[in-house]
Amino acid sequence: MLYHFGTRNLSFLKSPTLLRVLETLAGQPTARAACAAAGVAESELASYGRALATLAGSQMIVPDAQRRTAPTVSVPAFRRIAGADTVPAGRRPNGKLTDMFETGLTSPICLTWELTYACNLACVHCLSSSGRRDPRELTTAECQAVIDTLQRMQVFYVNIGGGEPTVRPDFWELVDYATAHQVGVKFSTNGIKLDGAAARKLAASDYIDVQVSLDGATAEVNDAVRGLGSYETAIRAMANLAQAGFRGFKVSVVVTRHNVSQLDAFKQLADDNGAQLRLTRLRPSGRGADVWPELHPTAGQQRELYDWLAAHGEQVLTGDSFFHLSPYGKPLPGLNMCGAGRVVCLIDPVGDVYACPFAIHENFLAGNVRRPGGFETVWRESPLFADLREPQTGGACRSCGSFDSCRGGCMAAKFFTGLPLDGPDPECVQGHGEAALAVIQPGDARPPRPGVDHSHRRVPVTIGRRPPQRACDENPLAGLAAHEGLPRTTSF
Amino acid sequence: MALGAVTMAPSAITQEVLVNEPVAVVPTAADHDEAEPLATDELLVEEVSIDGMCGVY
Repeated sequence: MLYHFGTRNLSFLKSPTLLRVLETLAGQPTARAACAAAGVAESELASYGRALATLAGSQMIVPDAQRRTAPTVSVPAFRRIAGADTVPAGRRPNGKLTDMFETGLTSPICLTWELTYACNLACVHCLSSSGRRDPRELTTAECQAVIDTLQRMQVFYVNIGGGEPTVRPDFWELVDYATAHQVGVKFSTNGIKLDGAAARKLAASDYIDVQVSLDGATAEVNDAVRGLGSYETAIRAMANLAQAGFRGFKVSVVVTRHNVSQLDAFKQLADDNGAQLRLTRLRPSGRGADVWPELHPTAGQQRELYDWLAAHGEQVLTGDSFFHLSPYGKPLPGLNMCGAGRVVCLIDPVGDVYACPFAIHENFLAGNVRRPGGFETVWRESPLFADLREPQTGGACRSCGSFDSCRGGCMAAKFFTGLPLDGPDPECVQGHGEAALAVIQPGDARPPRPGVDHSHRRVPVTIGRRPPQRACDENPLAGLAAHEGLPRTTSF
Repeated sequence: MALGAVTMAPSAITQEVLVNEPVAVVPTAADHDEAEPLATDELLVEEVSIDGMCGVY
């Protein structure tokens, strides 16, 4: 498999001979010569030529002259060939990509790595219930050892999150370490540390991508969920990235009941900053479990969202997270499958490995990177992951005509709303989820609670305007203004 | 497409990966029946645009 960091395109080479052609290309005067050297028969040249054209079209291969003249650090691409044993033994290489993904790979394609639970914000829907740093957090050396493992396993990239990852003092050191070890980095941030200097550093690298989180196209909508001043912080960070010349960074939006009507405004905001809009699904995970009933889009809004996504196609990224909406019509761009424990997973700040970042609960805990064998052993030998890679039964959904397009939806969304894992998604567009939730009786077992909680102890986390953590968060003259007759709007 | 001069990996990082790392991706020739004709291009390469996978944010 090849992954292009710039285009986010994944190419699956189904012939060992084609791989040999690619390995030979750089040392041959022509592609025809490379084919001959790799043992391609004359009768197969046309097929291999078309395959190479496909790879050229997606920029996986480039003209030789371009390679020779390209500066070493400014090529907008990241190409790698994943592990020698990417496909488990016994699997034929000419199966479909999604079929192979569903039964798992011997290395993840990418993974989410939450570096810290520490966060300057207290978003009401935080997936990891972040706020306070966990004293057991992986050390710098331990993080570097994890990166070494990921390099050895040839994981394409990590999505770094938290918490707010940039508040870790060694954040930039770890980012540099990862990219120096051929592990690409995409990280999510609220923008608190993205000043001009940081933006210029990021703009100078082709192997780092940034997602600035924003959950409202206006301060009123955003700050009600993410906290006072967070809109201004994100907008400033975006401006810094744009001014530094960072093209194509992501504006990452969790779609809620309160911001569905702002999709066009989000798109415009991203366009204005030379960025790309990325919409993701609200999950009832972490603190999100508490606000799910109030924030998850209504059935009508889900239809509105699907139509909007369908109209915008690949202009708008989704993290492949809305495949539960596909039964509305044409499948949305992406693989339309759950990758948990099969091709992705989560490493949390203390080294625990979960099936996915939306499922932080002991039921989805596969192991810990600190144990003997580290991450590699967890990924390859965890009984939980082995189970997730088994063919899924689909349960009650199997008989539904939409099952092939929604695959039963999101495992975590079902789990944290108290629905069975082989049942419908709580936002099933056919209404089966609502029906299943309706029959849960008040006396029945309560839905499982998220496994960890690092929320700030003294900050109430509620939707809407919250009391400031410190009086000076709202007024720089707090404690003085009332007594000295100074205007409340004065600032320094 | 004419079979012209094309190559991979223009950057220092990827060059290092491609040159220095073992890159036998899919099962070895022993696992694959080389005599079996590849009837369609779909059998040679499959591409998909991914924005993370579902399970990554």
